[in-house]
Amino acid sequence: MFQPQPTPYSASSFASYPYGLGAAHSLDFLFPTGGAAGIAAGGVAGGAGVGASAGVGAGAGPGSALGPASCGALYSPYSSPSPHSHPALQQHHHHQPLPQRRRLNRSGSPIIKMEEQDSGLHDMAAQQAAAERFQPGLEGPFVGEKTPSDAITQEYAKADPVYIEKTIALPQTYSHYRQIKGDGNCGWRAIAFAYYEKLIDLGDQGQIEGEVARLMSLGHMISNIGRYEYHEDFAEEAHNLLRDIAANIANPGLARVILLQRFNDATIEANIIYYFRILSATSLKANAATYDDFAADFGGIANYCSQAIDIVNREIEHLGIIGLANLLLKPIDFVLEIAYLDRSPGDQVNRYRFPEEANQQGTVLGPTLYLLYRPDHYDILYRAPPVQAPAPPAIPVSVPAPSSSADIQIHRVDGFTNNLTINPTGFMGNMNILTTLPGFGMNSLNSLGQLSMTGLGELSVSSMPPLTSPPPAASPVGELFVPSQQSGPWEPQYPEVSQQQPPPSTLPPSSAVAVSPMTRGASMTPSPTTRSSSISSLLPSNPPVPPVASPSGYHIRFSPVQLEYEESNRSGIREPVFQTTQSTTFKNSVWNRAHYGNPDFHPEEYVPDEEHWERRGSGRAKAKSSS
Amino acid sequence: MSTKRISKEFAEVSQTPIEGFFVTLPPNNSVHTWHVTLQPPASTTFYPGRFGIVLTLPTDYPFKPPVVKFVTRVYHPNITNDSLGNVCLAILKAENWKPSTKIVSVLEALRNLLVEPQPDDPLEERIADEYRNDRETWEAKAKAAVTKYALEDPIFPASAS
Repeated sequence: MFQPQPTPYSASSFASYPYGLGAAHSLDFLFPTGGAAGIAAGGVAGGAGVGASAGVGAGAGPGSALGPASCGALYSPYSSPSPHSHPALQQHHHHQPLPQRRRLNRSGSPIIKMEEQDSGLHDMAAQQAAAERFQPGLEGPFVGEKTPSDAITQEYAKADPVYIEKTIALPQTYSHYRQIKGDGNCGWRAIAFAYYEKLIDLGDQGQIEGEVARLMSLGHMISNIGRYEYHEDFAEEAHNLLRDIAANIANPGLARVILLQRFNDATIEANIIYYFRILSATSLKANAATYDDFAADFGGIANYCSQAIDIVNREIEHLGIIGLANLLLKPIDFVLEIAYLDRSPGDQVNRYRFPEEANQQGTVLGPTLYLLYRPDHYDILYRAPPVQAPAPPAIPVSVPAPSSSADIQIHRVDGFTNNLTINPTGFMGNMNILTTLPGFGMNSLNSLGQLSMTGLGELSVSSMPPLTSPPPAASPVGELFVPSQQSGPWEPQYPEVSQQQPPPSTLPPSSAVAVSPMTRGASMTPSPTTRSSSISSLLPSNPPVPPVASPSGYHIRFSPVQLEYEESNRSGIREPVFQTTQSTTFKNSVWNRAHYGNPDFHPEEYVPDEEHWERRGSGRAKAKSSS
Repeated sequence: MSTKRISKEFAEVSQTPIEGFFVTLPPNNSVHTWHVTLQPPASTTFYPGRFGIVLTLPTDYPFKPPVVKFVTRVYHPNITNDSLGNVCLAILKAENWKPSTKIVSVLEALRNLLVEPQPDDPLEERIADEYRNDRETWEAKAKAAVTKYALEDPIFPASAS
């Protein structure tokens, strides 16, 4: 599972890299951190194949492909998915003229073209700004409240398609999640918290008291094999918490409150987390013969523990998880399941269980702790209960998740004959942004509007924002609906539509449906001339994808950039200009995996007679020197 | 919490003193500040100096490393040659610090630093160069500094940081 997942763009320069348990560390060193002056490097970025492994297994991978340097969530500025949404702490706006395009001329040699492009109102710029503003959970409590995991879907709504697909699927399996502070302890903290919480779930006072006894009996092992001094101090808090939970197990609510309080007390939680660290390290050291080989880069498991586990704020890695699973979880038959949300291919998160035996098919699993891993960050997940109940609407803007089965039924329309209500607020509103772009004026807008409307004629339209109104990013459906202002091309075309629709003010937000499948189809059709034919061919042949419910006004699956790209690509009017998501770490560096997000990205091709290998070498040097 | 651990460690150091070290608490009896007097082994350049060291333990000790400062001037590549007396010690760096490290280990590391300077990781570049390239001059200057500053009992600042 820790095999790197090569993207289609994986460059040969990386393929030979020795992946393995230690590789994640070495990767750190290999990545030059791109400075703000990385424009020159940016020009090279296309040329030098940007190698990467999508999922850098064990956790030290330098950040997600999305851009945020670590703990890879991407928060959209338009949503406030969690009660602890992170305020904008950093507001650097690097409006760097990044866009560079590569084309092959006749001889096949790459042409790198730099272009100045104002990314001003670009949607990608907003995304970039969001990425820059992102703080990896450094605000807020150490352990957050349980939250419906739709919030994760929303976070990633503007991300890479792989993430979108996976995060859409996520809430169907894991209905809730709990945000963990990403200060370098999140993996340890998540496992520790989930361990206690699972004991509360099971509600067996005898078991919890047994755990106190069992852990106390490990003290000798920690001293003699782990060689830790003063471990009693760390252990005390961890054991006390167990005792207090056991004492209050008759009142699980109170036990949970105690648990959450302890984990949000800096001193107590530091001790508990350190206790879990030395437990894990002791477990590894006790089986040194087994694990020495895995820690060969460090010169043995003892050195590994000393350099990777014993140090505060050092994130957990695969070996650390194994250590904990073996000593803490396995003896009481607990299973740890980690869902890896990365860019590896697939429409579901990859899952892996600890201990390893639990991965075998047909194994009867004991009580299971669920974690969500995003590059460099762990949160706690909760399995959807077997009996589907609509998720409690903890988020004001949220709508029932696809996890509630009823929803899926609604969206699975047969040829669009159902009375689907689409809410074009988001993408229509966003259209206005496009008009500010050169080459994408009102005409193309109208044609798109027409096409999506005529193509989906049977759908009732819940609201139609006036084109002239400024596009609020996220606003309730009703607010935007001002029928009297609808003007010009819109009105005559769908009189019957407006008859069908219920008064929008009474429209519950939950009936709003993401426009994704429809607009996807629509955005394929480039111009009015080809419109009718392509619609007739496109829509019936496109089986409706069950769209995810989205908050009204939150443009999820529709990116104007994507539209613009496809539009111009097909009609050949205009070359797309793309602003990659720039991570704060890599900026324009050739190592920035965000380059994959660039639809123009093309891996470098080796042409033996060309001298571009030299160029690439010099480019890399440049990239280094500018970083 | 941290006080408990620190008291434990102080009790240990008091009961079984480490060779060459003399540890007291400042007059206000705060366990978070230790006044340490270090007498390097006779084999070293710094013998027979007595060096005052203030060891400050943060409130979130042991999860944050202690802060160590020399109150006696030392002519040494890894100790700033000024009134601050900052020390560069690898195990005390935030990214290396382990909560399981005992203060005793920190003190021993300090003694080893006097026994064997680390010119490759210097705080005083010039002294490090001298130590590497002109050991005799360095020794002479270090001795001179010992004579000038380190023969008296160290005077600890009244309100140690």
